[in-house]
Amino acid sequence: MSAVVIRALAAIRARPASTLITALGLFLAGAILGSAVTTREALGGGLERAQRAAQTADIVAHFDPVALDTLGPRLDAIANIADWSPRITARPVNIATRRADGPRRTGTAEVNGLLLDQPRGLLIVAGRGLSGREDEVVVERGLFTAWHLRLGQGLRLRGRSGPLFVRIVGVSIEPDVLAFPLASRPRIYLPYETVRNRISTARGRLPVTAVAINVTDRTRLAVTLAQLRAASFGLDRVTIQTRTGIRLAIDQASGLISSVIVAFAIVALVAALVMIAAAAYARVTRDLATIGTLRAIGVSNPVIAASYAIEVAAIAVVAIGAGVVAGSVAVAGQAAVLLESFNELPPPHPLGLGHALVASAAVAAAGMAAGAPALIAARRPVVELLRGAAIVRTGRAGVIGSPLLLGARLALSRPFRLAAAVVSIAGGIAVVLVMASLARTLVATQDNPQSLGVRYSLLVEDSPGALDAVRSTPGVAAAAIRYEALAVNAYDLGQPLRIVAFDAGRSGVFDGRPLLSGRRSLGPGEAEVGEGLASSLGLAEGQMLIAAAEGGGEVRLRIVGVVREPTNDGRVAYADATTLLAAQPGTAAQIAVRPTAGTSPEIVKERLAAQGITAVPTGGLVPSGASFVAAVVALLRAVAAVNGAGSVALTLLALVVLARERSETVAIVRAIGGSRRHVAMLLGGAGLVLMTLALVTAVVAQWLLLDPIIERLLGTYGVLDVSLDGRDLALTAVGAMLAAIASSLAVALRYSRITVRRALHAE
Amino acid sequence: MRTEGPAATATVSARELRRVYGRGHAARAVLDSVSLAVGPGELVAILGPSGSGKSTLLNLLGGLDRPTAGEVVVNGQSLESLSEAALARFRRTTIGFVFQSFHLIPELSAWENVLLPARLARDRHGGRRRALALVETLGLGAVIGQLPIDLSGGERQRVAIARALVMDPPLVLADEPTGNLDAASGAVVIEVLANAVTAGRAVVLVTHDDRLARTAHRVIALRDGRLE
Repeated sequence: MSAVVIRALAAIRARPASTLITALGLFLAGAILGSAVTTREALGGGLERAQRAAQTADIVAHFDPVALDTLGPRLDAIANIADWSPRITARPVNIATRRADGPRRTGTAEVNGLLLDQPRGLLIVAGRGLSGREDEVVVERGLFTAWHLRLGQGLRLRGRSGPLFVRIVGVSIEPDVLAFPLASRPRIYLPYETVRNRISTARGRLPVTAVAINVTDRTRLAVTLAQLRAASFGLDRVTIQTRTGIRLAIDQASGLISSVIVAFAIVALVAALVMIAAAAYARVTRDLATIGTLRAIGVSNPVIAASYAIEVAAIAVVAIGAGVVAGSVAVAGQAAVLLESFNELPPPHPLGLGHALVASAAVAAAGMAAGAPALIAARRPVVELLRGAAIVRTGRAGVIGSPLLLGARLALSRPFRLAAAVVSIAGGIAVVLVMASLARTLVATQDNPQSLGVRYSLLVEDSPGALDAVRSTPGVAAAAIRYEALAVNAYDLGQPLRIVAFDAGRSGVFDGRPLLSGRRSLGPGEAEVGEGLASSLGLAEGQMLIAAAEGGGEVRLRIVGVVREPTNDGRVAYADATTLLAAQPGTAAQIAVRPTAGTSPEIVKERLAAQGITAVPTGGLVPSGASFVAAVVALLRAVAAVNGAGSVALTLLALVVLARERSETVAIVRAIGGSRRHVAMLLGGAGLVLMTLALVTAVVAQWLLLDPIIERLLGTYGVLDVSLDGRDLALTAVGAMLAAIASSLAVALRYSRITVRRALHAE
Repeated sequence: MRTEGPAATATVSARELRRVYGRGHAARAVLDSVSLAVGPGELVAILGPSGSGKSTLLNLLGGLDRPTAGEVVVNGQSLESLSEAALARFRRTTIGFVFQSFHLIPELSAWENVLLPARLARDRHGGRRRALALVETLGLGAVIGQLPIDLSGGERQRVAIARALVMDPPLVLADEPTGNLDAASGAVVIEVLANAVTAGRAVVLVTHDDRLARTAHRVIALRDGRLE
C-alpha cells in the first residue's frame, strides 16, 4: 500500500471525532440525495410502470350503454385497431362490509363488468383475477387499503333486485384514474354476466359502456381517433381518452407534487454538494500544519492532494452510502403511499442504478472537494504552513465588544467556510419557505376560490325558473348561466381540453383569471385560453383553436388572451356561450352565483336551500377536492419539516466545526475567566451570524432563483403564489434563530465540559 | 512530604497535590505529594526535565485542571470548593496566565486581546485604564492595533503578559514564557515579570531558561512528579 493511502487511513483512525463530524456532514448530504433520487424515480416512472404491467390500452372510450352487436362491427371496420375489449359499468352502486368481518363500512362504488378472456388495463397486485364465479369480486387497491379489507372477506352489493353477496379474491389497480379515496368512488370488478344480470340497469342484448382499444400503428393514432369519432355516430355521451390523455389527466393531479419534488431535488442537490464541499474543506483546513510537514519532508503537492482526496473519499464511501440508503428508506414509504393514490407502481427495487450513480458522483465530489483545497494549501510557503497557517488574516474591527460579537467575528473570519455553511443552511430554509408558501396558497385556494380568479362562490344546477329564483335571493349580487363542455383539439384528438362559457358579457364578471398576455375576450368567437393549453398546443394570441366537442360539434375560437389557469392542468378555454352552444346545443348548464360583499356563501346556500335549490361551493384546485389538497399540503409540510430539521442539523454541524477549529480560542476565553455563559455567547454570536446570513441568502435565493424555477416547473399551476409571505418569513426566521441559539447552547455545553488544560494542549 | 514556603501568608498554596491520568493499568501519576506556598512579591521558578509534571502543577495552581487528591488555595480561597462557574469568575479576577505559545486570539488585535479579560469582567473603564498603562510599560504602543499574525514572537508574548496583568491579579502563572523567544525578547519578558513581582504579585513560572531562573527568589525542582 502506498504511503499516500497509509497516511490517509492513519488520519481517519487518529482523529475519530473529526472523522465523525466529516462523516455526519457527508451522511446528511447522502440522505438528502437519496431521498431526492427515490422520490424522483418513484414518481417519475410510476405511471409508465403501471401502464406497462397492466397493459393499458392505447385508447379507452366511454359512452352510454350500447349493444355489443352494434359496437363490434364498427370497431372491426377500423383498420388500425389491433384488438379491443368491452366492459359494462354501473355507478353508483351501494357496497358494504359484513358485520361479521368487523366494523361495518358502507359506501358507493363504480362496478365494472369484465369479459374474462379480455381483462385489459387491469393489474392484479394481490390475490388473483376473476374466475367467472358470480360471487367473486376484485377490488381496487385504494378501497382495499382504506377499508382495511382482506382477501376472502365478503362484501354486500345492492343489486337490481336485491342484495348480492360476493367474496374478495383479488386486489387491482387501473392506471388511468386516481385511486380511492382521492377519487370519490372506488372501482370494483365482477364478471360481465354478473353485472349485466344482477346490477346494471342497461337494457338490450349484451350492453356495454366502455371499450379498451389497442392500435397496430401508434403513429397513426390521430387518424384512428378521427375514424372512431365518425364510428361513434349515434352513441351518447362519448368520451375518448388516449394514453397521452391519461398521462395528462394523471399529471393534472400528480403534476403539482412531481413538480415540487423536482424543485426540492434541485435545491437538495445544490445543498448536498455544498455540504460535501464544506465538510471536505473543513477537514483539510484543520490540517494545514500537517500539509506543511509533508511538504517539508519532500512530498509533492499532487501526492498531498491525492492523500487528502483518498482520506475524505474513504469516509464518504461509507457515510454517503449509508446516507443514500437512509434517505431512500425514509421517503420510500411516503412515495409508495403517494403512488397508491395515483394507482401507480413503485420501482421494483428500492435502490437502483440511479442511487448508485448519484452516490458514486457524490463520493467523487467529496474526494475532489478535499483534494482541491489540499492542493491549494500545499502551494503556500512551507514556513507559513508550519507556523500555523490556519491563523488567517482577518479584517480590522473597531471595538471588541461582548463575547457575542467575538463569536460573530470568529464566524466571519473564515469567509469561504462561512459561505459554504450559509449556502447549505439557506438551501434548507429556502425549501421550507417555498413549501410553507405553497401550503398556504393551497389552503387559501381551497377555502377561497376568489384567490384563483373565480368570482363566484356557488354553483346551482340549472332548471326552469332557477336563474330568476337565484337572482331574487337576498345576498346574491349576480348570477349567470355557466356552460362547460369537454372537447379535444381537432388536429390532435389525443389532446383533451375543457371549454367554459358564460352568458354573453358575463365572463369577466364571474371569471377573472390572471391575464398573462393579450386581452380579455369581448364577443362571439373569441376565447381566453389557459397557459397549459397554449403551451401544449403551441397556441398564441391571434391563432385559431379548433376543437371537437364531445357531442361531435366543432368549436372555432380566435384566441385573444392567455390566462393563468390552475385547474385541469391549464387546459381550459373561456369562450362565449353563443359560440359553444352553436357547436353543442345540449351543453350542460349551471348557474354561477356571486354573493354580495360581506355575505357568506354559506348563508346564501342556506337561503337557496330554503327555496329548494341545491347549491354547491366552488373552489378546489383539483377535481378530487379537499382530500387531495390535504394530501398535498401534508406532503409539503412534511418536506418542509425534513428540510427544517436538516437546516438545524447543518447549523449544529457548522457550529461544531467552528468550535473544533476555534477550540483554542474557546479554551483561552475559559482560561482567562470566561464562564460557560461566555462560551455560549461566543458560539451564539457565531450561530446568529450564520443563521442571519442564511436567512438573507434564503430570501434572496427564493426571490431570484427558486421562484422562477418553481414557477417554470409548476407551469400551469403557476397561478399559485409562491412569493414570500411576511408571516411565513417571520415564523421561519424565529424558528431558525431559536434553532441557532439551541445549537449554540448544545455545542457550548459540549465544549465547556472539556477541561481547559486538555483544550489548550490539543492545540 | 516537603512543603516549600510559608503557607500561612501565601498568595497560593498547594497541599499534597496528586494528579493521575488514565485508569486501571493505564493509570499514571504525573504529580504526587507536591506541596508548596508562594507569597506576595515572590517569584518562584519550577524547573525540571520534560515530563516531570511542571505544566501539570501550573495548571492545578491556576484552576485549569482539578487534582486527583490534595488542595490548592489561592488568596485564601480553596479552589476545590468552587463550582466551574465560580472557578471561572475567580480566574477572571485573581489569576493571570502566560503561555509558552502565547495563545492569543488570532481574530482580535493586540489591544483587543489585552482588553478581553476586562470585557468578560465588565470592567470597561478600569480595564481600559490599566490596559493603557500596561501598553505603555511594555512598549506595545506601536503595534497595539495589529493582529497577532503581524507581531513578532516577543511582541506576542508581551501582549499575552499584558492580558495576564490587565485585571491586576495577585497571582501570575507563566508556562515557559521565554521558551519561544530570542534572547532580546526574553530579556524584556523577564524584566516585565520582575516588575510584576516588585508590584507585589506572586509569580510562579515554569522555565528552562537559566536567566529567568536566576531572577527567582526560589527555585523548585520537580522530577517524576515529585519535588526534589
